Amino acid sequence: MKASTKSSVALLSVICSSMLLFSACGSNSNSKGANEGGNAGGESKKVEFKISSWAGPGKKEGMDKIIEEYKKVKPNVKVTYEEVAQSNTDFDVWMSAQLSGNQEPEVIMDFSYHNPYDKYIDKGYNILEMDPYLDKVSPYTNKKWGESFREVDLNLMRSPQNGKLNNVATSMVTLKIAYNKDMYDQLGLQIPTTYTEMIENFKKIREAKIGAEPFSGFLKAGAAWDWFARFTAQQTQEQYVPQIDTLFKNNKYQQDEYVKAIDEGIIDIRKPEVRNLYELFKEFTTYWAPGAMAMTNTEARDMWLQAKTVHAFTINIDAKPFASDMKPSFNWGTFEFPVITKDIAPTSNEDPAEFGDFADAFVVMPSAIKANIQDEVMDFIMFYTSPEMATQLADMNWITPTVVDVEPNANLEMYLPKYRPQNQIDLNSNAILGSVPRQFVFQQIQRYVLDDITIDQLVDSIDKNVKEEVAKLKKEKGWSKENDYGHK
Amino acid sequence: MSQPRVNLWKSVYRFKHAYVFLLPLIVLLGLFSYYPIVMALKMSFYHWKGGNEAVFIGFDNFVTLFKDKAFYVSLKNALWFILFDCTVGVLMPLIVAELLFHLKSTRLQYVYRTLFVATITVPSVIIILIWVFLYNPSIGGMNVLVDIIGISPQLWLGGTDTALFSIIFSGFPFINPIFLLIVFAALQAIPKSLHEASVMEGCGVWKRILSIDIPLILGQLKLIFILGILHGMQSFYKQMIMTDGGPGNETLVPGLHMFQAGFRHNDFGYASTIGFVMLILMLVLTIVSNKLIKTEDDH
Amino acid sequence: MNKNKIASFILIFLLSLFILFSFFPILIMLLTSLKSNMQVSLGVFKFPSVIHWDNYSRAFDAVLPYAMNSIFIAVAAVIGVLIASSFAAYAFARYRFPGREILYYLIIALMMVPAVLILIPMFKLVVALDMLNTYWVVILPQIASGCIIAVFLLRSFFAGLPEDLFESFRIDGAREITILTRLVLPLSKPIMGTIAVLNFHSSWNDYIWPLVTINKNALKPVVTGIMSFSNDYSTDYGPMMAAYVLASIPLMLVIGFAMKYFVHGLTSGAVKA
Repeated sequence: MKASTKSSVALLSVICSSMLLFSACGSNSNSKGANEGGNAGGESKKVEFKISSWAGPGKKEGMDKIIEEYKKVKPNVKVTYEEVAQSNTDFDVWMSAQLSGNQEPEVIMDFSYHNPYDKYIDKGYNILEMDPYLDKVSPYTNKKWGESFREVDLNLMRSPQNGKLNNVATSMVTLKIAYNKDMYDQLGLQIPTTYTEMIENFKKIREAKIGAEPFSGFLKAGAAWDWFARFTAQQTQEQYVPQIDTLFKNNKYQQDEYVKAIDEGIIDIRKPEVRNLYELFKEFTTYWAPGAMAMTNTEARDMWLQAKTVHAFTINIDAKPFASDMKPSFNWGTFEFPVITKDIAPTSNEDPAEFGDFADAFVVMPSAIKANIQDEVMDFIMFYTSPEMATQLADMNWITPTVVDVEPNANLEMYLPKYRPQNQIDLNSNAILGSVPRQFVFQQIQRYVLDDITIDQLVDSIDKNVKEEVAKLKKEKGWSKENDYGHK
Repeated sequence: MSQPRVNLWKSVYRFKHAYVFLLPLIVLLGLFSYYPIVMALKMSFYHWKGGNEAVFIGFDNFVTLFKDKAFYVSLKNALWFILFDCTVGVLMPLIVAELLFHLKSTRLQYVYRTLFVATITVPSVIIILIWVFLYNPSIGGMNVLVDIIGISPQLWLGGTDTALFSIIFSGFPFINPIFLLIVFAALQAIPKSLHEASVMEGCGVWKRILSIDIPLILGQLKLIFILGILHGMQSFYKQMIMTDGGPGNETLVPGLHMFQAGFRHNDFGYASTIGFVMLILMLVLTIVSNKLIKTEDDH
Repeated sequence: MNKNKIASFILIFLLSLFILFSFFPILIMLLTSLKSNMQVSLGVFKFPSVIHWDNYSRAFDAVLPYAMNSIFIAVAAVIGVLIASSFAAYAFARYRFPGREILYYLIIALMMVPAVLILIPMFKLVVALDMLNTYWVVILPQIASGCIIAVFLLRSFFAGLPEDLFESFRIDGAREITILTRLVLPLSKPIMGTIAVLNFHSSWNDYIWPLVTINKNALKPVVTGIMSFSNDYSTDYGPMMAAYVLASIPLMLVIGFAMKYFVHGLTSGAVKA
């Protein structure tokens, strides 16, 4: 009996001591921030920082190349880049954990626009505001850094929550519609320039019964709906911007202005010009291959590659695979999302609009920077966004840089952004109110497209949801009509 | 007053071996399970976005949850998964284990057993790739298949009425290799003499299975049943990848609702609340089924 | 005689049918591992016209650097689970100690806590313990979570062992630890094998936790190599499946090894006793 106790105790102590032992051995190397040994003169100051992101085609190769070039210019600065996750979702989980344990890297590459605010500032973490750096002279262009970007792009990178530039996006995602040229020739179709012409083409494809559906759509995730909502809003709802932009007057609307506009009835889902767009979207989806509700863009693209559909959405990241290992077995081309004419939407400006997203945005986490190396980090970002480096990246990875005066790779011909939006107008998806109402709208859209609810039920439920979410936001942020939505 | 307490200490002392045997486990679980769990559940009383700031709000999250229609829908959907996991999910491993057990050739038995268990190496990525392809209404095989038996083409994962059952059916043939092993090991543990006696008495195979095998392996079957409840309630990977809960809320399950609340909507306090309520529901279901299925070892 | 033959024929037929269904995904995995991206896009079930063996060399390069890490982690986790859970299960099955019921339900309750929730508190804990970027940050939580199911499996198995076996040992004056190691564990080989397979498999596939806690390339598990073929824009299914196939070899060895114990189950042990 005694021996059994003894041996179990022995086992336990082995477990416990090994735990202590190995945890003590755990080399937790968090070499962060600057080596403060250097003198204040700056020239010999040794600086070290880490950039983290998730994997993407050519992302690591591109970054490593820039880092290598930078080493030639600034030998005292050691920059390391690490792909810590494969997908953006996993990266978010990784980052949430690192932040909670104060293990975050100094710099990350993330999405632009509302993302850095939602993911970091809203949770109580600090990220570096970059507006002051726009006026500083970049040593790599000898001009103000802000002049490296289009004003409209900077405006689109700014957070819609507080209107500040908390990130700088280095590339653009452009969206096109890919079409099967062989089938177009077979059926004698012309490339559509208006929405009506596109639907006419779809009809002809249906009638011809060639064993292919008109369009490969996908609606498991919200991207296709988001794109449609944005394109159509840019064409038909531009007139609202001055009416909404009443607090900051910066030709852009922030969350508080949006809430105010809903309260005042300027933004109203029931208005015919908004309601019409939902109906337009449904009409569009009736030409999609069945089952789109559970498809991703990959599955939709695969159907197009199999020539089971004539059209599909495509983004500039497809350009490289479509030219190499995923080369379609048929002739193909792209066109931009067609114009919605006044006869369909009376408020349309009939300007073609196209815009995807900004990508590869640098976000600097001051919470991770122990010594004051913000200027050194920003110097690297200025180097990265210099025309010379941006050109190298564009050639290497076929990206569309945000930096002005950079020629995109010639292979990207079919994906060049022809029409730039003047503003991000998105009154249909409720994205600006937060991710919960945005998901709600999307789920209702799925139901509406499947005929589970009517247009009236759709509009009613979204309208109700918007009012509830606005009430919630006002309570949380302490906004009211009386205090001019926090501006008094 | 002090008499029972003395007795308690006495019996604690008498069973000191039991406590020593339990100690390694308790230390491990205390550190790596109980501590983080208590910290997580605590957050269900906070407005917490996952960052360093948290505001105590009492039962507000619970009030929101009880008004959350999506949560009730997710529970209803989870019920279907639980129902399936607890019936077909228990029955199929049992059937296959009995078939294996009745194989005369030990070599064949080894081969078949190893093959079944080898299926554990199949990554869920490939299962999803196969089923998503099969369910594709225009290029997949399911519509061809149901056409043979005279059913019109369906939207499968993309249809309001078909999405939930399409996900459930993607578990086909519902033979969890680990469950199969558990049942098989239990069958092997039945003393040979009992089976020999039943043969001598001229019992048929069915009678032997019902009167000897099932009562003797009921403990293992109960375990699989309970694991079925837990799996049905918690799992959300397939739902997330195949439909993301859609169309609408048709395939939303509590686990996915919680995941979305936390990592998509940054409402970790609310996610903790969903987790807390799920835990209580599962505990209740487990205790009830534990009491309903009586086995030898519960006294 | 004839009847027996028909019965065993039906048995084999049914088992083969079930094997076919269960094995189908493995066949597709092997098929996909030989395809290019385009071939996967053109049809999951289609046989490739050109076979891409180079997927395996790409997979080999991706998986190999991490293989030893995963083997070390998985073996340590399996041993830890087997030791800690068999001790605990023995206590649960053979003693009626005060607090048994409460402890039982407290451990059951652990199965009901979603892993998603405890990620952040757990991370804070391992930061406080200064365990980041070590093997132990992965192994110890794996042992803890693996023990939960193992305790229940072993408990119901131990409890099902006939009481008279224990009596004969007790009469000989055997110590508790002797009863456990000489009587109970040898009889429990099949279930121990099951637990080993289960935990080896879950340790092998553990993804998010090592991703979050190990940032040092030299310590990362094999999943890192497998997942390197997938990102948000595209998945290289061919090499990825090849990597899965290669990475499953150690697991298959464990399975083959564990399955051997099923023949020497209770039947042989009970006779000896």
